[in-house]
Amino acid sequence: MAVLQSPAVDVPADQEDFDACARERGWSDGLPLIPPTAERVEGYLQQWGVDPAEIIAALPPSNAPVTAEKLAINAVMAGAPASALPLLRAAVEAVADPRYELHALNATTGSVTTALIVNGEQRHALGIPFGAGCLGGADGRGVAIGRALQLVMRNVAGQRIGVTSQSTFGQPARTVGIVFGEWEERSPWAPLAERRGVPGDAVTAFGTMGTVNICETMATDADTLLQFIGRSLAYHGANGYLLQLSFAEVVVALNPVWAPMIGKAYPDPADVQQLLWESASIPVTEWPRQYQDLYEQHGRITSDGRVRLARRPEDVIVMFAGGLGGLHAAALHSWGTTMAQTRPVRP
Amino acid sequence: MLDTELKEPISRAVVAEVVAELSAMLGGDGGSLELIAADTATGTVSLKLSLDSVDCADCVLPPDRLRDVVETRLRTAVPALGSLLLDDPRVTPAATSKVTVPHTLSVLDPTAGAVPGDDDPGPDLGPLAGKRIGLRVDVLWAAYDQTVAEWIPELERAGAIVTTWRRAQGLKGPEGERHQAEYDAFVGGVDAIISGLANCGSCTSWSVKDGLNALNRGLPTVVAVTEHFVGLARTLATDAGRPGLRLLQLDSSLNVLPEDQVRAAAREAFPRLLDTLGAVV
Repeated sequence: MAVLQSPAVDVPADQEDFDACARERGWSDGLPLIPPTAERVEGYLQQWGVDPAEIIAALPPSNAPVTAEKLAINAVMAGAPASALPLLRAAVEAVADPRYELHALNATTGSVTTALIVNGEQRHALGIPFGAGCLGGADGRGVAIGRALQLVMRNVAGQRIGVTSQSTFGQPARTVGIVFGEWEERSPWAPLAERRGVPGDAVTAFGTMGTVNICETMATDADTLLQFIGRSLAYHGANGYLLQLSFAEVVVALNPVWAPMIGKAYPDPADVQQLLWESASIPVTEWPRQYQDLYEQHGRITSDGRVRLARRPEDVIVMFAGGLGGLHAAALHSWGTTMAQTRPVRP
Repeated sequence: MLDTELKEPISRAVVAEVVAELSAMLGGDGGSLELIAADTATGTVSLKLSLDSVDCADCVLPPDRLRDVVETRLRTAVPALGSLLLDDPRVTPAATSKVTVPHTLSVLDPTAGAVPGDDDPGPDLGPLAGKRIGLRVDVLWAAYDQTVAEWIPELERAGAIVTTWRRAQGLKGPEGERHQAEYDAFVGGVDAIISGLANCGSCTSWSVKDGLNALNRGLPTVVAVTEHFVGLARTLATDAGRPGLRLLQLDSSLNVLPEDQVRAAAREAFPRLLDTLGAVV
């Protein structure tokens, strides 16, 4: 085991005093933290078997390198298991891609945070929720893993609330993240990551403004259901309607009760993306005049006089997750300009 | 596996096999792991660690790591595993603990700071006459277009040659590369850059980023920032290694003012713009 490079800091041993100290030092997200003693961090790195000095990526705005050691320290503090370090490394690699525009995400007034969608057998080994309550409330390690990534943003990338991050409201997931899996075993399609070119254990990082619930209880066919969901995706204040942003995505999580009906009607998920994309629109006449003029100038109005939420069908990302109670879909709207990134998770 | 609907009853035989494997692993240090119970209905597994034959207690995996290893291996083999109860004799219940808690402990610093930067603000522009001034604008703020529209004739009256370029945030792929190449060429064709408007989080990041592009090429550079975002702009410039980046502070309410007031504010700010740029009329 190589020597750890991080400076040792003497802190109060009492938990409450340690948490107060961590808040003073700017290490804290407000929740109790596990003290990252050298023994704990070494244990994590030994289990992982990675050189502590390995640089995973430099993240803005600090542009400081996220090393394996810093990742392990923050994972310890968050309560994430050592076995999640490969997943977290892949997540750091994903958000470091320039197409993810982390420099803008970490600075924005928007509430955006990074959601991680997990694919592969690792979901079971790590206890990543993909069934009931997968977006919040399920137990398991997803919350701690999400928290670890958020602590890396704070402590290494330099996302300081009210300073480098101007998020007007923020959102709860800025503390614990959103980490959930696709219920691959009940999906009629290939896993999301595989459809995005990464089979097996993988993670997709997605910059989202939060979660929106869509409840539908009447549809008995896939077209009616998907058109209803698609229409529900479109609302005037969604960032996809910001004229100034040249790009926006939306993740739609469909519950597994709907999987047989949708899968039978649409064996190819691209057809569902197309249908949702077409349905996710609002008549241009519903906007104030100055917006209408600008949508016209930007060529955003379709031949039937509507404005679509997303620019392209492939910007609607579809997957199956959630509990067997059914009845609901979940939408995760993007902030805009952060393009979802999928990376393989290697040991 | 967290969703109860998907759970299969756990197999005691499989659990026992995994426990035997883990016990054999611990046996190298003299420890052993015993399966006490495996509740196939709830998925709860109870294990007991024995250290009776251990010569070197420190050689056995520490309690928290041991638990991680055991749980990870069990969950891999038994996805429907519910709770894991691990009786480790080294873990003393807190309520009965007689161990003296130290007043301090040593932890590793979780942070990684930015490298110290160069506080040089870059060169002054000097005489304005004959200089090519590049105004970098964006697609966000109509008020900044109105502001720049007031500055351009003033700059031209002083003999400057003014060109503008508009940043669209978020372009990807070949379109994004073309857009960036266009900006690089724009910066390469002027003597100074005025980049704006930093009036939100992401547009401040972009305005600073585009300003630093010019500053790092040695051009006189100013980033126009509304009052609230000055701190962010300064921090971002510092994090990027150029804390001296010149900032021109404008009114925070710029984007909600009527156009005539925006234009009046732009005329009022013009002398400060020249001063910040180090320009001489």
